[in-house]
Amino acid sequence: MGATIDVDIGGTFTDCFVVWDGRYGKGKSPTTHYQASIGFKNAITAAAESFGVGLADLLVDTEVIRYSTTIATNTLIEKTGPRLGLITTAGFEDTMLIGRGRQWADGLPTAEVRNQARAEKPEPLIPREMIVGVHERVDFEGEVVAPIDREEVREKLAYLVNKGAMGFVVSFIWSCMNPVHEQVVRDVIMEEYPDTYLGSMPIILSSDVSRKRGEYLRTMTTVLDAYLHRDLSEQLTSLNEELIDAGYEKPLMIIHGTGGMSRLSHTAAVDTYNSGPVAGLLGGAEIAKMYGVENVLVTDVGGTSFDFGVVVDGEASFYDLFPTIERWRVQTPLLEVKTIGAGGGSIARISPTGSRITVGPESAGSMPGPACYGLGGKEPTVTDADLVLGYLNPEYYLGGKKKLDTRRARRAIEDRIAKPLGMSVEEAALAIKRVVDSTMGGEIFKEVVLKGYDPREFVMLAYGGAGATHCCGYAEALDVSRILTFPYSSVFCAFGGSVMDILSVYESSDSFIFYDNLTGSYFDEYDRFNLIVNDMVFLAFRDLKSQGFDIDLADFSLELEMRYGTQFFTENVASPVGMLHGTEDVKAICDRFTEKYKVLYGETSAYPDGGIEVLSMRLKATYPLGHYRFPVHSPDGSDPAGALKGTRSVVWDESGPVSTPIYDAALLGCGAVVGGPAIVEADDTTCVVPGGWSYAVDRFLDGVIEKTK
Amino acid sequence: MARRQITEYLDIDLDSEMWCCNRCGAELVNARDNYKRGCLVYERDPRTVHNPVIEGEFTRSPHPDYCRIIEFYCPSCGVMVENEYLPPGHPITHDIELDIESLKAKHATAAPAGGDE
Amino acid sequence: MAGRDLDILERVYPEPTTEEESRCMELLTPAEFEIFSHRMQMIALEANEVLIRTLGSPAGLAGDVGACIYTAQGDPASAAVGIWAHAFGGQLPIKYIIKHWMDDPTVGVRDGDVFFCNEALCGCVHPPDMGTFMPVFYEGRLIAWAEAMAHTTDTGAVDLGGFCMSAESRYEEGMKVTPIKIAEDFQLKNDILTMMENMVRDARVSTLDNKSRFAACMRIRERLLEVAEKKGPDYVVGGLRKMIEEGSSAARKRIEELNDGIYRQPIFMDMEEAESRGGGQYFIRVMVSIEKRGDRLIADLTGTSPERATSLNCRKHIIHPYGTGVIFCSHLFPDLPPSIGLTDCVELKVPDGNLFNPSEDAAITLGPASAFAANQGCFACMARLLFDSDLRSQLTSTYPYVTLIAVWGGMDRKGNVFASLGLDLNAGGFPARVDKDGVDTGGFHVATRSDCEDAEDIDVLSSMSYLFRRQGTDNFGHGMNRGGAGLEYAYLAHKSPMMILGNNGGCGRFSSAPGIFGGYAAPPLIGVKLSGSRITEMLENGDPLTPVSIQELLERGETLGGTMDVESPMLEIGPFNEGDVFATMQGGGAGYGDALERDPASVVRDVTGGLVSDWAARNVYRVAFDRETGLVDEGETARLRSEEREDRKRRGISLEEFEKEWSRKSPPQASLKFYGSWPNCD
Repeated sequence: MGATIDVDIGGTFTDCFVVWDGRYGKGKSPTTHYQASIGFKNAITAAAESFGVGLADLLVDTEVIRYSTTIATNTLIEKTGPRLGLITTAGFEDTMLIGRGRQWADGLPTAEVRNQARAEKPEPLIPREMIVGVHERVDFEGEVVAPIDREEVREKLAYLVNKGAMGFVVSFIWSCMNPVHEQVVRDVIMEEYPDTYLGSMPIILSSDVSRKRGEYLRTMTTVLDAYLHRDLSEQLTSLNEELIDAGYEKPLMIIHGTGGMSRLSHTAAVDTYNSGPVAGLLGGAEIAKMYGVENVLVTDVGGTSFDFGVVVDGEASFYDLFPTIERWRVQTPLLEVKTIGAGGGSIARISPTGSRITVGPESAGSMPGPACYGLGGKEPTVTDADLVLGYLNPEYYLGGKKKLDTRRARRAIEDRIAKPLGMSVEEAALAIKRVVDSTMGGEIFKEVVLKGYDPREFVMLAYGGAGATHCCGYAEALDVSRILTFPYSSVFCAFGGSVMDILSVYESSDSFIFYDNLTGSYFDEYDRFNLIVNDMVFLAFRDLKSQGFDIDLADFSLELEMRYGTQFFTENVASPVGMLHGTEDVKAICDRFTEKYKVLYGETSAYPDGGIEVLSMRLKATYPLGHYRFPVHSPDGSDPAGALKGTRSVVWDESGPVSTPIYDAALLGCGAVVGGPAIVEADDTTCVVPGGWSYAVDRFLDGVIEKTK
Repeated sequence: MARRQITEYLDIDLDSEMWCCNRCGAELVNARDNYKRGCLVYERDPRTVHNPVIEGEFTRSPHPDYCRIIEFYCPSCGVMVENEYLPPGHPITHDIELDIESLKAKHATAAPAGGDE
Repeated sequence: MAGRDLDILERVYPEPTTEEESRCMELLTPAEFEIFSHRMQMIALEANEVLIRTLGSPAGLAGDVGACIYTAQGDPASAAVGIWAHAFGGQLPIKYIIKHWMDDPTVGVRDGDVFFCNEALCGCVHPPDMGTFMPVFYEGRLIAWAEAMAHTTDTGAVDLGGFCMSAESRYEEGMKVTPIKIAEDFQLKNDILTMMENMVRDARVSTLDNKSRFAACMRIRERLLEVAEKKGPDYVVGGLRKMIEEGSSAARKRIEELNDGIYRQPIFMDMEEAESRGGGQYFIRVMVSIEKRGDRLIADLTGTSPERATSLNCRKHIIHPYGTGVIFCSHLFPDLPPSIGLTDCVELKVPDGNLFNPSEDAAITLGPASAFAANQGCFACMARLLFDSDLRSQLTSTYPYVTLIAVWGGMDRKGNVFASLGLDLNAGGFPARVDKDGVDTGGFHVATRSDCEDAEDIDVLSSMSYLFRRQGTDNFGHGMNRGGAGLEYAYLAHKSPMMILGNNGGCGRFSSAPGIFGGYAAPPLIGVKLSGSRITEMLENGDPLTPVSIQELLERGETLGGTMDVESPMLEIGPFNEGDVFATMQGGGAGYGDALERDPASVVRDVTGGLVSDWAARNVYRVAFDRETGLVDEGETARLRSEEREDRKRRGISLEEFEKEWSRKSPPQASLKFYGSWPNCD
């Protein structure tokens, strides 16, 4: 088997994970935003070096290259998408501007949302003057209530073209039930504007992007798709060119935030959002399988942010059905990776009331960054506290690539926190650490319990630049007692890409009353239900075949969104059956819904007597790909003392500084166990092990941190 | 002590204790008085600001039998300092009544302010 | 017998700190206090989420909910919302329970009990806002209360949907329950659930909502006990109290820095009497004056119209949670944690017999509308108070007081009897600011999590279709910075077996939100009902004259057939037959500053966006521009504006001269029937 290459083009770094000849190699290079392909190539080259070969030698033996990218985020933040025109139902031209009213709050952290006096909606992706309405109407059953007039369509098109439209988005009310009018518009565009003129002008119909109900969400999803498409395909083209030059000519696979991957031609641009962190989450699910553990908390702590995701029963199965992409709400089901505004750069302050120490959500970012970076930052951050407490080695931060100034860190903490509150600098640093650990832990706790689970039953995974530094802190806050860290932590998301399968998701908004409380009877239109499921299966087969996959190997699962009575929210229920054959199937589904509901909200809360309804369905088609299995090692009997680098004075608690052993991670062999308090330093991360915890290198060469008492 | 800008269009000169127009500097009236007394006043048919879109009782414009717009202008530069929508005959509101002594005390030791823009 | 203890209604301020609380507060260092505070917020947010996800009423989506952790004495310490008034609204019912039921041997307060209340005379807001309260005992010691409140659509009142336009006294306003146990031993009582189902029109929603509120309270209790277990109950007791004290001292400090003075604003509510009661417009005056003295704010509603036989009466204890919430938590001090401590510095004065201090039998289901009018007056006063201060950025012009809430029901497309509320109130316009326009279709000003839903979802979930839904033209106050536009929309009965529709609200002749510093007010609203028209036929024929805005509806009224009634937006509940249309608009935000100072390019952008009419661009903003190119004619604009300023100086007269003529005028006598004595309600 040839090599597989996975690349994660991140905000700061481009990471690479290569599997070749039964082992793995990693590479990392700064992301070159202006031309991502350069950083992309450099990262792969660095990984090739770890095998002792040049880029060309690696590529010639490579079977597949997969990548995730932040281009969606970049395009939205920098507003580099094309000038688009939107054609919609007359009377609904303002749909995108209205949002759902509270659009000004979408995508903003809670603290900003509190400040209603300063509310502001984002600049629309398509300005109002580029939105036109045509008279037409389809109803909720898909029946055409008002016909469309091709002449009117032509007129409105001419207007948009005159105004400089470089692409068209068509989104009509209820097109998800009957796309016929949207298709007429496409026909008219194709008739009026010859192919040569159109060239690369996309025409995107909402009915091709989503069949889910909700005109704002559907329109927004479609608009984002159109808006992001150009930059995404330009990036892909440049990546391809770079690779062809270097001798690789096979297609690239792009990773989706929905948890799957495919070639760009089969990818909706909007699906690529947050794909890096999602790949990390799926990497976490793979680790869970590897360790035979059901429930895993995946945490990625970077300089400015903290992402986390939840794996239960060995699967990453939580979807955010109406996620917010930057400031825009869509209806693409993205695997849920939540971000909390806490990380190394989080700024510590005394609250306006003067009675408490707050940490975050404001961050010093990387510029000016923490005070200890010496780039002009005056406010104390979490990294400054870590340095003052002795967790970080000022000479060896990021493998020596960055020097930290302890004096500046102390000064910032003293001026802003310690002196005003009458504490010592160490006390203040300890307080900062406690607050941020508790904040991180508290946010994770809330999300896990709202899913109906107890965090104590989870194993935690910690990666990202600062994961290992803080993991014991927030694990303590969560009462989690086992943490896994990895020698490839710094490229974990790229690793995640390497263990993903092909996955596509299909959805439908048809609704069914499964239990009618008025008549006391169960749903019996089995054919109607099965037909819809079959349609989705057919689409899945079509997509897989066209990418060259063997449909016989595909696996399917069905999920239903269900509610009691008149509820506006639904719960996601994994259906025990794919097709309905009789009442037992319907009852089994209803029972599963009730079981789940009780776990989430309590025994008394379920209400089947109120009636049970399925409001929409989701089919997941998975196609398994082979992937690397980490070899199992045997303990090498080496003495951890051989990895001892020295000692450092570290403040662990109120009792003051303690001389603490520092170990070189690279020199700890399989089976080595180090008891806390201790610091384990790797070239890209520092692992902080407090007293009451131990660090062990296990059979997979992962660093396992466990509570000893 | 200098001028404090109290609203978008009104300053108070703490030395002379006068309301002044922020835009042109003109003195309007004593600061202990209702500033509206220093303005020019105009009663306006609301339909000249809100265009009636249809004939009849309900026109999306305030109905002049029920509502008039009272506008207050600076006599020197004509800027609209304030307006009130009132049922006909309803007394003009004394909407800002500052404690001048307290204001002066607050700024007595402060450095001269050049307005808060 | 406990009866209606009206003294409880005065206890909107935090109870005096007990010895125990003082001692416990000492336990928390600054870091621990932050950790505790964050934890309390997470717990409240979790409970609020549970509410939103499990409610049967559209309230979940509208964000008409609140969850809060209270001290053992009954003061709200950490809220998550929704609507702040809901989180803070449990204060008085809990104090009632403590005072009357705790030591009553026939009732008692025990671990596992959950209480329900929706009676305004016991401290709630109005019957649809139903609250659930659960004592939290740790090893036999009461350390806190859990509270969850949500708006349940129907209360079995004389009018569908809980807002009783036609009620003249409390006896027509549906189910009203004094604090009663709805659960014991952690189990909801079926006899109570059945009783409530029986009293209302939509039984399923009643029980779903009761289960939802119960689940939220149970969640708060569970989490609080985890904290007590880990850190000890004293920690919880001290922490909760400290959150209130901290808020109180921080708020006072900031209020202290503002300019002393008295600020005033009259608000004129423009309402319509139900046809069934004779019809006709009437005014209600809400007079707000806010005196700022030292570290206190004295809000005086003297001069407000007297109580009347309408459901607009509002009990004064409601002003406090609404004001605390929308004004203090969302505008003045968004960076301070949300607790009742923030409004410790506010004193409220309301004479007896006033609209806001009515007799016991007064009807009150539309009371929140009056509270919103009072809020509006407060925003105007606050704007004048905040300009010359460090809080200027928090200054806004006024929000619309009238929030049009449609109610409909009957038989849905699936054959169920149902009642539903319109969510379009969640797309009202927000007011202009010192440095920016107001947010268009920004939301419902008191509801921080409001959501107006997609029209398609409403079509399927609530059996109501829309003919159009857009941002209203000129539907806001013009000004240097304009207010945000309110939503303009039309309901269409399509494939609806049997429906009735009503629209709560008013404001057809007077402005809906006063402007600030020369900014114009938001205009009146309108309601257009089309019955028996050819709309369905027109749609089928693809008739290009099918209207897609209120303007088009009004212009083409003749050609549509059937009857077109153009009224104030208030619509009494009546049949809504297949093909009928009801079009109306939510209020927009008021303006800020002289319209002649608005940047002409912004005016042009608004015109091309359909928000400002050509007429307004010419006559209000005095901007000259080329419609084709969108280019401003700078010279002509400057000339027009200069001309207008000169004309102002010419036409304006002195205040004395003005008052001579003016004081002789009055509105139509009929409009003063509920006003009280003209003009000052004294």
